[in-house]
Amino acid sequence: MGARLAVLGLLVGLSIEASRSHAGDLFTVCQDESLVRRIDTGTNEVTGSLPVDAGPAMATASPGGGYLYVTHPDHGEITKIDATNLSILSVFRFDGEPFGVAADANGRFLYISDWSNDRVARLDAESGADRGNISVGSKPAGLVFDPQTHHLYVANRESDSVSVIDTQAMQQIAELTVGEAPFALALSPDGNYLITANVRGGDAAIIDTKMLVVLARAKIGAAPYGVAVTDHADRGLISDQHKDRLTIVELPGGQLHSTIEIGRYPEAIVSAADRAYVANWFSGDVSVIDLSSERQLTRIKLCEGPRGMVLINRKTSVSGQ
Amino acid sequence: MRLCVLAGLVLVLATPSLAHGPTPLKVDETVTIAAAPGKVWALAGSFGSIDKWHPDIKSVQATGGDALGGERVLTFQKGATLKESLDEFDASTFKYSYRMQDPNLDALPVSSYSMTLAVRPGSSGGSEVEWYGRIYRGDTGNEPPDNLNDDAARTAVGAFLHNGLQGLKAKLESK
Repeated sequence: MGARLAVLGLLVGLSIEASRSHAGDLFTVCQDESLVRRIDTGTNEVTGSLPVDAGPAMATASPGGGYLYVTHPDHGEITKIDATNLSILSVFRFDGEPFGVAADANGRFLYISDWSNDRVARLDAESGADRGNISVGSKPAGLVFDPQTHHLYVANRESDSVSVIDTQAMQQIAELTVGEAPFALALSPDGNYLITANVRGGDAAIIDTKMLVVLARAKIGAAPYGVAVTDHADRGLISDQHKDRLTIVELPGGQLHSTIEIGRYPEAIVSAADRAYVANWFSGDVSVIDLSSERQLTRIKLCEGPRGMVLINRKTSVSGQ
Repeated sequence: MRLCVLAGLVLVLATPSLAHGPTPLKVDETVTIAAAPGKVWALAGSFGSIDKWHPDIKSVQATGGDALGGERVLTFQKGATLKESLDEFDASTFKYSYRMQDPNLDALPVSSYSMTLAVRPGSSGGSEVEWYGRIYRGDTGNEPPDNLNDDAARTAVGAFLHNGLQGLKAKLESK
């Protein structure tokens, strides 16, 4: 009976999803509650909750959307999660303070920034086994992998720089000075632009990834913390912890386009089509932004201490089965 | 004597000058005050005058006034000092935000913080003052000692905010 109801619910859910353009699963890491929460972006409702080990921080998904990987910097662990069933598959031990995480193009490797050891580690995404290391700048935080060039970009918070790594050779090919204390970074879907949120500098650097130069530094506010790029690569979205708002800048020039009031201490941002989602760390909720009208549509109450976020497009994961 | 010096050294070594570890902590204290928001702001909204109402603060040296980049050096009753700088100041909404400069574990067992103080109308008259922020424990390494861990940071900063708001309330409600 219960199972039949559940199946029915699933079918109804799927048919509703099919009629909406925002179908997807938004996963948020709740650091203070040691949970991963799932929101259905078609209905903006919380549809799942998974307890994980203490102190989870950042997260990424495998390329097909089948797996999630969550870091636990205080406990030297990475949790691998089945994203479809929302269940834990394994916990990798990590010798260091694993913070940022990125997956490569085919889901074979994970790249982990080791906050206290100034290195990026490469792990086997299946087993968690050590598959190499590279030294980077001081206090590496955000990571992003470019599937087209196989380059990995690393925000070195206390070196004021971004390391550009050729992951096929596991060699650093450049280190760019980007501004004071870059924490998060985001790559445009075409791979042409990289944006960093410089926490102490109060600005965002826009980088041309072909020329490896900083094109512009956009003034944001007191503490830019999270960043995303729209699908069309025409806008950068930056959260500002002290102004409780989302700033939208034009790419590649960095001109201020607009600002939107959101929750307190906003951090991670993800963007897909005409939506952006921002985790408000202090408020414990997620702001849903409509990028066409540049308005906050709603705030979804979620948990204490939301940090990293991952959006998996339902269509992608369904077609991948 | 030698032990003291050694302990001091260990403390310094255990404190990353870079601060800001991976696990932020939330602090949030609110008080209701029987006075109009404008009157509360006139006292609480002066960044350089916190010593006029915070019982834990002996004196303040302020430079730059109530403007972005304005700084204040707090001297605690126990003698330790802490420097803070203004990030946002909005006199129209009665709100300011600031951050700690260099950590001083003798003042508070934290490696960094950013705080906001906001005054708003109370739900049943008077005012509500909220003082909230994001802090990081004193030792951001993976094995912090008890006096520099998350609990120690939350307790000490929570008490600092609480005492301050009680001091503010007492000052404004007296007479």
